[in-house]
Amino acid sequence: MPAVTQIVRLTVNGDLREVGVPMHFTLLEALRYGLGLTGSKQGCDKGDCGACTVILDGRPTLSCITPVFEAEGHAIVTVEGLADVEGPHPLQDAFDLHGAAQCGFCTPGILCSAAVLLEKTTSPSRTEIKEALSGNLCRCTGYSKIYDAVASAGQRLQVEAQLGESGR
Amino acid sequence: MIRKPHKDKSDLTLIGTPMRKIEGLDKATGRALFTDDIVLPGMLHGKILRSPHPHARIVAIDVSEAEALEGVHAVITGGDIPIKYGIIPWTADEYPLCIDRVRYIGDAVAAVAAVDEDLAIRALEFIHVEYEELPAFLDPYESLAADGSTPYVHEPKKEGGNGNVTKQVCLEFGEVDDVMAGSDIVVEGEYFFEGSTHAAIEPHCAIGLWDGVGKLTVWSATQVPHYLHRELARVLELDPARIRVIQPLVGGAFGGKSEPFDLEFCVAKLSMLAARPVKILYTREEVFYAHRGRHPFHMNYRMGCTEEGKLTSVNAEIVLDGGAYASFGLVTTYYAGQLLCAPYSMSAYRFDSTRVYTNKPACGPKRGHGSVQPRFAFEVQIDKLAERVDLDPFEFRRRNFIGSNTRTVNQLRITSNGFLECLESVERASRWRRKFRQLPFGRGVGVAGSTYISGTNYPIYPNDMPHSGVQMQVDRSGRVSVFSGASEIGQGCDSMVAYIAAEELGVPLEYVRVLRGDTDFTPVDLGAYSSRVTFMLGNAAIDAATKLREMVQQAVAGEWKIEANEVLLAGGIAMWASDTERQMPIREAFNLAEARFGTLGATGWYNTPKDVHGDYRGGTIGASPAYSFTAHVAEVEVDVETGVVEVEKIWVAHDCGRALNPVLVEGQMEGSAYMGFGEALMEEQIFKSPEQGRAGLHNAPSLLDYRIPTSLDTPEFESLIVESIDPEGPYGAKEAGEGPLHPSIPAIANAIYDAIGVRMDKLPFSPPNMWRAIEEAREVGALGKPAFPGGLPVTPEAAPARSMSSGS
Amino acid sequence: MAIIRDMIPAFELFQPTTVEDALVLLAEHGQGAWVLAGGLDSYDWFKDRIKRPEAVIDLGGIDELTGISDAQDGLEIGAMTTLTEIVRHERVRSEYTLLADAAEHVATPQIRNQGTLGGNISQDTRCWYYRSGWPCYRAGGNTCYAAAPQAMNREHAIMGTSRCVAVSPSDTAHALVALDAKMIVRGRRSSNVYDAEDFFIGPATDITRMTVLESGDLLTQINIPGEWANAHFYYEKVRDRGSWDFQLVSVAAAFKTSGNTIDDARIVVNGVAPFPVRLDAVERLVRGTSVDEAVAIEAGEIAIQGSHALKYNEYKQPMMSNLVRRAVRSVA
Repeated sequence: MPAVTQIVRLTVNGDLREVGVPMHFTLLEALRYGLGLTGSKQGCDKGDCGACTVILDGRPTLSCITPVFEAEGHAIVTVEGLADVEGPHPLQDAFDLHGAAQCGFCTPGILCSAAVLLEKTTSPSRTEIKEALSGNLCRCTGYSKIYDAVASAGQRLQVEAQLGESGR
Repeated sequence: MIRKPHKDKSDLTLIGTPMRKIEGLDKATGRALFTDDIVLPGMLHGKILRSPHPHARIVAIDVSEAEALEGVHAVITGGDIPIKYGIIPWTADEYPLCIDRVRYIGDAVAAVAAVDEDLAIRALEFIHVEYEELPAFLDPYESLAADGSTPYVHEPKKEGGNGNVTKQVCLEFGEVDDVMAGSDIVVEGEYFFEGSTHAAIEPHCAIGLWDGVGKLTVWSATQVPHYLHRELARVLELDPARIRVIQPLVGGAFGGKSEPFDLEFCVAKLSMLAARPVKILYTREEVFYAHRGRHPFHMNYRMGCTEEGKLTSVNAEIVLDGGAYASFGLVTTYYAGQLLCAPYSMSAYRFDSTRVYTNKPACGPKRGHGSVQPRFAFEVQIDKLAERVDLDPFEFRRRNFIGSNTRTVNQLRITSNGFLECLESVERASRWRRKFRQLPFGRGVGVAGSTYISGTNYPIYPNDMPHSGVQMQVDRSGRVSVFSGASEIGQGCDSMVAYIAAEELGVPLEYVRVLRGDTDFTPVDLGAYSSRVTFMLGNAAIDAATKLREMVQQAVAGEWKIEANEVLLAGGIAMWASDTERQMPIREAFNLAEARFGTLGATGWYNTPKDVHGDYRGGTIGASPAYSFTAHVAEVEVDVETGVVEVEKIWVAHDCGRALNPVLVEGQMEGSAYMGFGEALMEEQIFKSPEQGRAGLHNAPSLLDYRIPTSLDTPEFESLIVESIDPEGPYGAKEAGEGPLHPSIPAIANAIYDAIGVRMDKLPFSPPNMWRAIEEAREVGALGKPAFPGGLPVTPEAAPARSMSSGS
Repeated sequence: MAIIRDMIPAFELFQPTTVEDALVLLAEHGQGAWVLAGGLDSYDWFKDRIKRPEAVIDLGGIDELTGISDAQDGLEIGAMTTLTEIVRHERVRSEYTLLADAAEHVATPQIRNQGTLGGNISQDTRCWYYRSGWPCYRAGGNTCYAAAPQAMNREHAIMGTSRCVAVSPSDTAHALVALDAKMIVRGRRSSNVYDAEDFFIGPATDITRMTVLESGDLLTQINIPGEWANAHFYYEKVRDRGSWDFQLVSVAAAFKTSGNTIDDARIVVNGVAPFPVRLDAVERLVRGTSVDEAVAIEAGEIAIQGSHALKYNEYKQPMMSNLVRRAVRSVA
């Protein structure tokens, strides 16, 4: 069957983007090939590694097995959308500081899972961190430095929140 | 090459402190570019057609229908690239695309380039290959026993020989049999190490760009751009001076990208034919076929010791299941024996190792190349010997410590050696003496040690040139540019050269740029393998930086009318050692130097010591400028009702000489221990036998079915860095990336024994395998807590009364 | 099988917004139609190019299929409700812990975010011969590769087999049977309610399906009766890895107890047969007894009576026995 290309409207990192893709494309294919957002990675392309994880309506989602048409009308955040004009997301800084990214290929997906965890709580226990990251494989680090980075980013967010409150 | 005495810790400002990686933030923001992230104008997508048969003759290939498809720009088959490649110059045995014979399910047969990936996949369905199936060799022992009545995997090199034998090495040091016969205790064991694969999260990817008039550029996720450069030139018959290899950041490798692969030749050839850039990205399934992972090892170990626990004689017989091609197999066959002669001394040692071809994806080097498998057997043997002579396994290891500045029984030169400190660190940190044989039934601790090379003294192709080179330039702005050909695969080698440049030239780390991964402008570094990079590239970087520093010191000294060695460069300023109030910004110092010496640049290089090995054939293999040492303690809990082993914690002590950046060293230690843990508990690269349906078909070519540990499986790690300050390493550093993998597996096996009295001599320790071993032990009444050495009374809670545990 | 996969062939997509429309589409496309729920099992098949549907009918836009609502007696769960929603639902967590536990044991957080309860219980078996596209009985061929004497059958069934020895992969199926859930299945003309126990079928009934769902049918809702709310539950799943992996063996049990006496019980095991296996004999044994270690051991022994091991799955017999023993022991 010949592929039928359609225009899909995606809200990515706050931008409304239109992209023409075949309807059997996955969200990952649309992001990487259609929009040039290459931060999200293809590791296995079958939902078995988590490198393609993006945040869809606030939930970590495997973009490699999400049909692109399912992503229409939902808010998508990729690793490129975690930083803002103030600078890198505290998680990104912490990953750098703690050596949590070795080869860095799983990092974008892990950051998305971790960012959602820190939205829920800025003081996650080590067990909570492990569970939140249990859908992301890392082959380099043995995970330890990643846990440290997530925990320290959480602490920083806590401090920032407290400062923000006291400043009011 | 300039040799300088090492600085003391007190003289170092950056080296030894925790530092960020220079590309760390790029990786955390998605900016970092990997090969598949690169899109070139007009780029086509390539796909490779692979053999569905483990062993077959190619009778005919018809590509005409595929070629005729609109949007297909090129189709190639074996005849288009009819020269064999291979990482070891003497054993090149692979065609980029098979010509007359396929040797495993997944062997490459043809390749296409088309306007998009969809069409490239579809085009493969229009290539018609006629095969004549041949009997396949899947079992290494059947390969060994082959008599030529069916075609060997490869033609014999000598007429009448067994073409299935890749390499056989038998080396004996001392009178093994006599010494064995005179030993008080002899323990013999059969061990099996299942094959495992690297499973880097980034699949292999390459892009070829032919400029139409003779220049070829290849981007590749490779660990060995230099060897790729050479092989591209040789196999494609191009002038190497007109080939450029670019290595973007590599998303993990672990040895799985340390030789050329079919896709690199294919993108080059397809691009030459289509006159367009061509990209090929392996699917995850193809990564499993490319393999080059850990060889399955069948091992027999016989080891003797005295009643006092002194190791006497060691005899090892090893069969390596090599898969369909040679890869690094020649080296693997040697390493299987050569790297076992430390950290313990022994008076006699023999190994007989044979690598055979089978019709399965080729095995090769995986982190801890060649020695992870025998180290598992060896360290379990040590545990068994210690028990036989009633010694604590730590004590047994200490009694056999080989020492520093010595020679192994096979004549390898050992310089620094921090193994005793490693043992002491893990013994203390794990509270071993309160746990060993004293934890309740189901819980246990185990120890193991190991050694590994910091690079090899001899390169893969014989030559006398440096193993690593670095070029540095200093700019009037204060910036330092480092041109490095080393392979950044996540281990941090780009950062390491930046740390060294900053340390030696006194600039802030942010002033250093590392220009990397491009054979057009970087000096040769041989690649990221054999744990060579920190040692060799580090020394080369110190060499280059020292030359520049001396020019800057001289220029400043001239200005201040003082001695050059009184000028200190640190923290972005030049100052006078006798009066540190006297300062100038580093930029000014650089400008003075440029005014005096002209444009500032220097090259630095490192070459290895030669002739410090044994004078026997093969004595060069395993010879390294320095050896690292490691000891682990693992603590496990075994559920005897389900066979589930939980590794709760691994204490990792590693002698890395000096930790140039402790954060990165810990990362290597933890990552290594993790990888060993995965092999111990779950990883299996296995294939179907003829009785199991499709002979030679990979059983689980996905990351779902080939299990690597998740965050929920992985134990806690405690990294304990030991610094023995090697006399020849950069600031005293040695390797850290591979050594700490080795002891994980035997430490876990020994801990399982301590927990339930069951010896696991075969990998992996998965629930079904554990359950079988537990049942066997139960039948012979061996399930239970082993006795405390020296016959000390067993504490009450250690009694094997508890055979039940509550539900989770 | 050494062909290049991982990219989905093109298909025609339909996105109905009502169950009625979906049923019409299903009827129109017959065998060529594929029902897409969370997409996890589906996309796996598509990427392997082993299933190449002509028409994909995406249920994602049908609002009436999602959500959990309080029923007069128990809960009504839309088939398209994600596993994460189930895990987080207050009443599921407090009254039907067994289901929350089971749903939480599915794969990974991301997969639970995308995967639905309906999809989880309707997914196809993981037999690697079948999944790799071998022409086995289940795929319409005339052999079972996994049952051959030397076959790789570490994950396969020890009971309930009939030509095919594949197992049910679902982590929630046996929990639903233990809770005596009711499955609402809608067809073009009629609507049926099945006991969970009857929803899952073995190869003896139809070797090409794992549930009663036939072409044209849609599982729309799963009802959990109040009958077993707040019972004493036990769920345990043994797998090779802490996430992602399907069970080797898993047990889901619900007990009504007075002290350590079991008044009533539903004990169901999965990963051992082509469907979740309810252990009637064990339930009879423990009903009305006061649990001690001897009862637990006997329960474990009875559980595996009549089971039959293949070459590489013999470990499942003691594993199942021990898990049932633990389930019963948990009451004591």
